[in-house]
Parts: sequence; structure tokens; C-alpha cells
Amino acid sequence: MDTVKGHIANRDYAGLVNFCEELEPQLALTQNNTISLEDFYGTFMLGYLLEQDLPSARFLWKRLGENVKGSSKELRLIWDVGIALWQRDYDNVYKLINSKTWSPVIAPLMEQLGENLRERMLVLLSEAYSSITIDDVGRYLGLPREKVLSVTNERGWAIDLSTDMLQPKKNVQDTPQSISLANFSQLTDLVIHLEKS
Amino acid sequence: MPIQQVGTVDELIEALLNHSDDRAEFIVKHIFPILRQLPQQFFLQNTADNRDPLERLDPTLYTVPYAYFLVARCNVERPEVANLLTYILEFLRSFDPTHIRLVPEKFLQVAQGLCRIASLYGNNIISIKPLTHALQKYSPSANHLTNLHQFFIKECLLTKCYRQALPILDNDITEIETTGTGISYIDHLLYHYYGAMVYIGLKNYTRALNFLVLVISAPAIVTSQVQAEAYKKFSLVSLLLHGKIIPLPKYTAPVVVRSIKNQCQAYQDYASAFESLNVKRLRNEFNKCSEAFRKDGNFGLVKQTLDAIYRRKIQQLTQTYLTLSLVDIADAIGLEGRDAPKIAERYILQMIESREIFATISHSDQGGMVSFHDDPDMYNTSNTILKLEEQIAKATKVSDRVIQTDRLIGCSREYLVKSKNIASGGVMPGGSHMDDQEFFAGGGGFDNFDPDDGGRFF
Amino acid sequence: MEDSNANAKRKRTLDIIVDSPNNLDLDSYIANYKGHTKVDRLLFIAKRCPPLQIDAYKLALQELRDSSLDHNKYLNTANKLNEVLTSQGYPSYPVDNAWVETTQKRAKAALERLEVELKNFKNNLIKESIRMGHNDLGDHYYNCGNPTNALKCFSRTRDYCTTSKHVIEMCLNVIKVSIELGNFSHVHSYVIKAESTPDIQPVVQAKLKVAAALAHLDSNKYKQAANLFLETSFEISHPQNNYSEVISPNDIAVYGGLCALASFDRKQLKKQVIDNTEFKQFLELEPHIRELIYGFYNSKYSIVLDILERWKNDYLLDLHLHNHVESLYDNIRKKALVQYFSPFLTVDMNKMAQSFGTTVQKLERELAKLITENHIQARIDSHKKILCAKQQDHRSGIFQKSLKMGDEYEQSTNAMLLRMNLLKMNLIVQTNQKGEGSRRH
Repeated sequence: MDTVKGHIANRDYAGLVNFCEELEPQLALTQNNTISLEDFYGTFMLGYLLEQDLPSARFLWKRLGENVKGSSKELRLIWDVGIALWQRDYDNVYKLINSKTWSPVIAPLMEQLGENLRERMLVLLSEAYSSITIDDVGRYLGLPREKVLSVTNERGWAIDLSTDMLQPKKNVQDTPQSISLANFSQLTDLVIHLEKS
Repeated sequence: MPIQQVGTVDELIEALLNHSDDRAEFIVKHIFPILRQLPQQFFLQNTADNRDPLERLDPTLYTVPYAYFLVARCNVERPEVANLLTYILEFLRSFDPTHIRLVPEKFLQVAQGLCRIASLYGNNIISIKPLTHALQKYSPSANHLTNLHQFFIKECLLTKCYRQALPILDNDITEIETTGTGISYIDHLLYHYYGAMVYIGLKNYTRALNFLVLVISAPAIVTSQVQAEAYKKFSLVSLLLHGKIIPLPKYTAPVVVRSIKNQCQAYQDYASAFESLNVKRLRNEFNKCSEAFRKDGNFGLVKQTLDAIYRRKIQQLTQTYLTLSLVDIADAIGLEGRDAPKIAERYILQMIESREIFATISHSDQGGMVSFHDDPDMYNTSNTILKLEEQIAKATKVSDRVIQTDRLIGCSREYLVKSKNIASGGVMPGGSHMDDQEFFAGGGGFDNFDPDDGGRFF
Repeated sequence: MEDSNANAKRKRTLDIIVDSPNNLDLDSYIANYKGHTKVDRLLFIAKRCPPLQIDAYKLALQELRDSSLDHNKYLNTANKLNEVLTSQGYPSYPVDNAWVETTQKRAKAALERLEVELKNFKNNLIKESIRMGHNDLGDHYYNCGNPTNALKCFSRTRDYCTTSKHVIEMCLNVIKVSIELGNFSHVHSYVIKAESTPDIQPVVQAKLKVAAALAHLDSNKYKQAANLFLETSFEISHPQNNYSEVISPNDIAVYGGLCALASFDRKQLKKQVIDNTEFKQFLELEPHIRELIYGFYNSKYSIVLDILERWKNDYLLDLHLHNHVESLYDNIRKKALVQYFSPFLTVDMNKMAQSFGTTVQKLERELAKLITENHIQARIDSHKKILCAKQQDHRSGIFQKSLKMGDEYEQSTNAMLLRMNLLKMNLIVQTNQKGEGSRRH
């Protein structure tokens, strides 16, 4: 489990998932192990969710033995978060995340999941909306009104209280870059190749 | 010195240990004849001092005989599960690939044995990782197909280890070598068919579509049932990705094209309903054929197309409108009910995130207004150059390989004769157009592991 | 596809009743025709246009009595007329029963005589007489209102034609009857046959073009129809040359003008219609069609739409045109919309809607359809109600395309490699390959 913790600490969820995939059969081989199956599969599932690999999370749920599924209420609840994500019912994702006190292993991952989703939504909303009601933003971010105002204020969104609308600030696009010397030499290589063949 | 006739396990072990020559010719000439003539029962015995013979054999040096022992033991009615599992895993870690390629069918049997033992052990997924590593070692290269490939992918499907199949699936198969891999045409068909199912489950439709096309367009003088089933999935995945059935490669065998027409009419009708972008018509067609879709294990995919038609229609609107209100969008794409504009908004948001469209929604106007934009990527960043270069490098590599293969094959006379026959689309006299009915008849169909093929969650 | 469309349309227009004609003056209109088409046109109008019913029936009866032996149709028509008269409280029409009786006898006697004559000719084996015999019998059947038998007789003369003049006579007869029967594929083949004979007179040439044009019109091929109408010589309007048993020169102006507007682009319109001196003479007969064409060419769309609207009912009462009015009008409107926008980068849809006599909402729907069908390269700003030309960014397009091509190249090349290797190893889907059975899991 130390490796798991290492991955979590480094926020290396791809590494986490790969490691869990290796560990999964080994856990199945050693009958009486010291690792809590509930914690392991919970972490594993959240790894997939954090990687936004919902299909794999779904297949993990499907291949879980009934004994594991049945014995862990928390696992079922983690899975409910997965379902809400799959259905893009973001409002509900936040609600589910905040609905209980998660076990010590799961709690930081859950928090991260909510944080990631909020960040993803902020980027998406700023790209997709030129104006949107404060209530709607609250639903997409899972935050109460005051929090919405402060978070969006940090990002420079304008607010129109008369209509209760926020005007998201677009993320700045990459400025076009001029062709550098490195690019130029690569281009030269290409031309040489073309002449060769 | 040639090995003498052996009568007991001890004699066999002695003989092997005394001739530790690991050249392939030696094995073929001296080891095979002995192993082949021994009955299965022989490999179940212990040594005279009641020890397990496998304890005395190094799986690296004696890969082939080791495999014989394992296969025989896996096939008994009540194998010693725990013990055998250890031996098999040890074998899969340390076998000598050049040796095992001499007996590909034995290797497949070991793999099948492993899965049987794993399931007796009570957990199928034990087999997946060892098989992955074994397969990587066993294949002459990552681009070679072997007789283990389709078996492995099928096992991944059965154990719901879809993502775990990717280390194998993500390499394109380009090399076909029958000696040392034990493959027949069905290996190619099933591997790519099962592979497509994995990609569908993981929602990588682009690769799924490529795989399905490989199956359908395989050289053929009769149509395999796998090809017909592949076409059904192909038509649906093609709708999801392109909004229509994309044309098949020109070299698709005429006999396959004909059978598809006869057997997949429901899918073609459904596709033309989709292409008409008429929601009502699509739903009618869906209701008409839903039973057939369910029976084919394609229900989940079909359900996704019901959703995809709205997105396809929105995409069409971006070609027609610069701005359009949410109410009008909902109306134009055929959504009904009080919540229709809200639902339309969700589709649009989803499409903006997946970069299917570029748009901004404004709620300053009553009911919401959407402005559609062109792709903001002006292709003038260094990123573009990077992307282009990457592709050019890839293309250069591929074309070098083609030139090489072309030269090799162009010289082979038999290739020329064959390709001529195939091109003229000749059907063997008296050949039934459906050859492998039997193949599917037993065991309740070949794609029934996952009836809800990635479409839905529950 | 076109056929089933035509059928569907035919069914739809079957029941269209025109409340009142626009400009139609029945007497002068019908004076342009003679023979069967005159009667058919009158009966068609009677069926579709209640206010003209009585007059049309009466004129038809007069025509039948004066110049045919078709006593059946006479009686049928008289019955219909009397039904109408009675229902409207008018005294009934005096049926000329004496004429019916004598005509019946005359027709029967003539038929017997012609059949005997033909038999004799056949016995004597004189080709020309046999041809004449069939022809006379055909004419007789035709006069009696039996076009099916008439067609048979005219067709039979085919084997006895000795000069190209005979062939043309035969063809024209068959064409005339086939048009009446609505069998336009027949018309096509006999036009081709006639055109392949040497030394055709210009007048015959003109008749053939018109017949072929009607056939194209019937199958919704407006462009081909327009081309043929526009090539028709004005000779056909001369009293001694006319084709009034089929069509009037006015019809040629109307049919040709509408088909051209519905299917030609601006350049073709200028070259083939406006600069066409021959067709100009036809247009003189129907000044509103000329005005329509000039209005369209000069982008005066409100005039165009106005004229179309003002004559629509008349066209719905035309024997050959009625089926096509909707789709011709649709096409003309579409072309007008496209042409209206073509010189601009942006267009105010409010103004455009005004010019086309419609609402902005309806116009938006029309435009959306045109854009989807790729007739207009533009996009609609539904919010500001502006139509904006699509601005193509060729450079981005090319980048996008080449990136896509790169992906496809890799994919298809790998597929080709696999295929070559499969063939090399003879791994071809075929029957009874060993090993399949044992691989079942």
C-alpha cells in the first residue's frame, strides 16, 4: 500500500491505476492478505475516476466479486459518484461527494475528484458561455452563491447583479509563434528526406 | 547420441537432462518424437521417489516438455489447483520463446489451462497479467499475430479487464507468419473482432472502426459469420463517428459485400434512417428492429446512436447558423417537451467540451442564444508544425516498411497467382457462403459475454 | 425516384379545386385548340373549376357533336352537365338524341366498311393500300373515342411504310394518341424514331420537339423540357402548320418560360431565353411570361412572385402543367432566393422577407433548407436576422485536411501490409479450414 500512497501523494493517478491493475490479481492469489479490499478497490475505482476513464471504472465494478461489493457500503457509494459522472449529473456528483465522511484513505481522493471536476467545469464554462446565471454556475461547481462569486471573481469574471448573470472571462489563446531556428532545421531535414526518396 | 525409447518419467527426465542441447533442430529431431508418442496419462505420473517431475525440470531449458506436463495436468477432471497454478505462472515467466514457437498449439493449451485453473481457483482475473507478459514474449514482434491473441482478448472481455487488453491491442498487426504462431484466418478475424469489442467498451470508436474494417475486408472466398457480425457493429460505430456508413475498402471481397446485403438489411435500413437525420424515422426503425439488435448484442451501441442523432443535427446547425436561440435549436433537432431547450443546452455544452463544435451560449437574451464559431485553431502555432512533423515521420516509417514488404512479396510467384484469384472474386465451386456456422453454433454464440456493449452503465 | 415522386404529386393534385381562374377567358383560350385536346382540356377545367363547369361542358359537347363520332363521351358529358344544371336549379341541356342515334349507326357502318376494305387490301397484298387501310381504321377509331384501338392500327402501319413521309405520318399519329393516353415513354421512342428519318420538314421538327418536351415535363425533367421548348420553331404557330390538336403556341411560351426559370442559371437564362429571337415571338403571345423572365433576370423578385401568384390558378387548370405548378414554383423561388443573396456578403433578412412576401420566420426556415442542401454558401444569424456569406479559411482547411490524411495514410497502409501478408500466407476466409472445430471454446 505504500506504493499506492506514493502515487496518491504525487497525484500520479495513471501510475496509481497501473499499479492497482498489477496488484489486483496478486490480491486474488494470496488468500489472506493484510490489505483491506474495501480500501484497495475504493482507491482503484477513484483512480479510474480521477483519470476520467469512466468505462474502465465501470468494468471494474462489473468484475468485482459479489463478496466485495456486498461487504462494502462505501464502495457502492463511490460507485454512485461514478454513475453521476457518467450521466454528467455534476450537481449530484458534488452532493454525493459531500454526503458523507469518507474513510481516511478515500477522503483525500474524493476531495481531489471534486476539485478536478470544479476546475474542469470552470474552464468549460468560460469557453462555452458569454453569460450565465449565478445559480447555474453554482450547480456546475457545486458551490454556494458566495463561493461562486469569490471563485469567479478571482478569475476575473464580470458580474451583473441586475440580471444575476456572470460573464466568464475567456482563457487566453496561445499566440501564434514565429518559426524558430529549431523548426527551420527540422524543415530542412524533411526536405532532404523528400529529395532522397 | 539419439535418445532411446523411454518408459517411465524418470527415464524421460534422465534422457532430457543428459541432452541439454537447446537448439531448435535438436528438439524437433529428438525430443518431439518421444513426447508425441507418450500418452497423456504418462505426464500425470510422479517420479519413482514420488517427487513432482516438474521440480526437476527447468522451464527455460526444457520449455517444450514442461508444456506437455502442464497441459496434461490441466486437462484432468480435478486438477491440483494451487500447485498447478504456481507451475504455470512460473512457466509463463520463464519459457523459452524460440522453443515454444515450435509447438504453438501446446502454448495455447497451456494458456487455456491457466484460465481453467484460475476459474477453478475462484478468480478469473489472475490469468490476465501473466498472459499479457507471456504473449509479449511469445510474439516474434509486437506486430505479429499469434494463435494466443484472440484467446487472450476474449479472456479480457470475459473477465471485464478491457483496459488490460490495450498493451496488446494498441499495436497494429501487420505481420503474418504461420510457422511459429499457429494461426489460421479465423485468428485474424476473431482477434480484430474481439479487439473492436474492447475498444467499443472503452469508447475508442476510431480504433474499433479500424479493427472492424480489417475483419470485413479480410481476403475471402466465402463469408465468415464473424465478418457479418463485424459489419453490424461497423455500421453502428460508423454512424456514431461519421453520421453515415463509411464506404468499405475497394478490395473487400465481393462475396462478403453480397452476404452483408442479405444478412444486415436491418442495420442498413437503420443507418439510412439515421442519415436522413429524422428523429421520428430513426425511432420507428429502432422499435422495429430492437429485438434483432438485442439478439445481436448490439443494443447498447444502437441506444447510443439514438443520442448521437441529436448531436449530429446540432453539428449540422453549425453549418447553417451563426446564431440560433436554444428554443429554436431544440425545435430544429426534434426535441420535445418543456425541458427541450435545457436538454439542447446540455448537448451543446457536452459538444463544446469534446470539441465537436465551437460555440458560446449567452443567457443575456430571453431563453438563451447560441453563437456558433469556426474552429479557433488557426494552425499557425508551433504546435501545428510539431503535429505535422510527427505525422510525416510516421508516414515515412510506414512507407519504408511497405517498400520492403512490397519487394519481398512482389518476388513471390505464389502471391501473384493468389492475389489474381482473389481479385477476380472467384467463389470455390460448391462452397457454401457461410463456412463457419458450426464455429458459432456451440457455446451460445461468440459475443454474448457483454450484452450491454458499452452503451449503458447498469 | 422521380417516377414515384411524380406519382405522389399526381395523387396530391388530383383533388385540387380552383375556386376561380385568374385571367382565363375560356372562349378565347379554347379557340387555340382543336380535336381531342380541346375536349380533354375543357373536361379537365370542368372537373377542377366549378365556376367554369357549365360553360366548359357546353363547349365540350358542341365540339364533340360538331367534329367527332364519340357519342359515348357526348352522352357522358351531357349527363354530367345536366347533373350540375339540375343541382343549381337551371333547366337541363337538350341532348341531341337524334345525333347520337345516327352517329351510332354511322360509326358502326363505317367500321364494318373499313374492316372489309382492309381485308381486301390484305388479300391483294398491295402494301400502300394496306397501310392506308390501317390508317383509315385508326382515324376512325380515333374519331369514335377509342384511342387504344387507334394506337394499335397506327402502329400496324409501321410494317407497310415505304417512304420517310409515311414513317413520319405514322410517328406523329402514334405520338398524338400516346400523349392523349399519357403514355410518355411511347412518345419518347417515337420522337426518336421520327427524328432518325431523313428530310424532316421544319414544322415536323418543331412538333417533335414539343412532343418530346411534354414527355420530359411529365417526368419532372424541367431542364430538358425547357431546352426543347426553347428550340421550337415559331413556324408551329402558322395556321396551316399548327399543332393545335396537341398544344398552342401560347402553351409553348408558358411551359418553356416556367421550365427555364425553374432550371436555368442566370447565364443560361440570358443566352437561351432572353437572346433567343425565335422564342421572343412566342413570348409576345404571353406578355406576362416575358415580364416574369425579365423581372427575374433583373432581380425584381417582388414582380416575379406577384406574376407567379397572379397566374397560378390558370396553370392549375392546365391539362399538362397542373401537376408541376408546385414544384416549378418551388424551384423558381429557390433560385430567386439564391440569386438574391449571391452578390452580397450580408443581407438583412427583414428586407429579404419583404421582397419575397413572407415572414422572417418562414424565410429563415427556407434559407436554412437551402444552406443545408448546399444551394447557398452562407450562415444565418438568427439573433440579428442577418444572412452572412460563409468565409472560407483555405489555409486552416488545408492543414486540417492534411492532418486527417496523415492519420488515414498510416491506418490504410498498415491495413494493406496486413492484407499483403495474409495473402502471402494464404490466410483466406474459406471453407473447411482445419483447426476451426478444435478452437471452439
